[in-house]
Amino acid sequence: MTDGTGLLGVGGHDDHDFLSGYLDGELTSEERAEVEARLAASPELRAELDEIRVVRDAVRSLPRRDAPAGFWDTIVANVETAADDDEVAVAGDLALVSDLGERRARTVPWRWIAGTAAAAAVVIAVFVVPGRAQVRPNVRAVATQHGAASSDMGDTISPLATISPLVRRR
Amino acid sequence: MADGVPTWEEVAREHGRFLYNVAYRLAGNDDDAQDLVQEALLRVRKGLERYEPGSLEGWLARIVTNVFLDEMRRRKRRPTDALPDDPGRVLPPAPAADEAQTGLSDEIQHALERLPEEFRVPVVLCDVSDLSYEQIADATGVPIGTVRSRIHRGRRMLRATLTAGGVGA
Repeated sequence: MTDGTGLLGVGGHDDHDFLSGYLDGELTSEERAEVEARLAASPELRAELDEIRVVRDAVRSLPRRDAPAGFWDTIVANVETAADDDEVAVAGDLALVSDLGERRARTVPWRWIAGTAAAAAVVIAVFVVPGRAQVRPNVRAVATQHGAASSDMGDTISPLATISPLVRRR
Repeated sequence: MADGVPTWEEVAREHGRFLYNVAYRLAGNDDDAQDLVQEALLRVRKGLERYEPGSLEGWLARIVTNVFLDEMRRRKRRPTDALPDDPGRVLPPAPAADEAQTGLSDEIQHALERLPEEFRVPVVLCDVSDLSYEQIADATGVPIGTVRSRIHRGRRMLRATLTAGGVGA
């Protein structure tokens, strides 16, 4: 940190870089002792240390950001595909695409796949599922069986319980 | 895992969240983070033969950082692309009605996005990836004294941005 010239550095310019090094435990024991001596003598330096500590702690407390659901399955497949393509390109003496922007054109961005899947799910939910989910009794079958049961047993109520399975999805 | 070297699928499964988090803090948005992770994993897949067992997450952080810096250079060559590290060109998104509950985390993330990349990278590698200054110097190819200086200046810039935004950092 000091290149053997003390905390003020080679040019004597004190930019207080050592304060972050102090917070991060990146100083030697000698440098640390020197910083602590200067902190004890300077309220301004202590104030700056506190300010930097707050910022540092704030960044370190940022929550870990997670990828959206489905990202990893897609990305694994994408990487396999892209790697295979590169191997073919190298075998064919073609330029290896290392530019991310160019690679984007060759690999299917995972979010397109996720978006397409989401759109398909919406279509199914809106147009297909409601029709399948409508539960209607088969009126003709119910009436026929009810009538037959009534005439056979003379009881018009209890047979209904056995007819209920005729209710079906359309 | 053979000889302490994981397969790339194991890297994706066990360290993917770490990789994604670093990518997100560097890029500032999910779309770019996803692209960075995809490219980083491709490089991991190709480079695992050269990996020497040690700090795997340090190695991953270096890879995703290189992918990020490559992408920044590519965008600078194509100025029609937005540059999130240019405060004068890209401002933090205005809060929308449904973002009324935007919290301190978002403010800090926006402040990170406003840092020029030479400051953002070492701050993220230090405070998000938890790399040592030596590892950061190795990852970014700059002297350790420069790393120390950029981390400290980056933090001061962050504080200035947060304070100007009304966050009492």
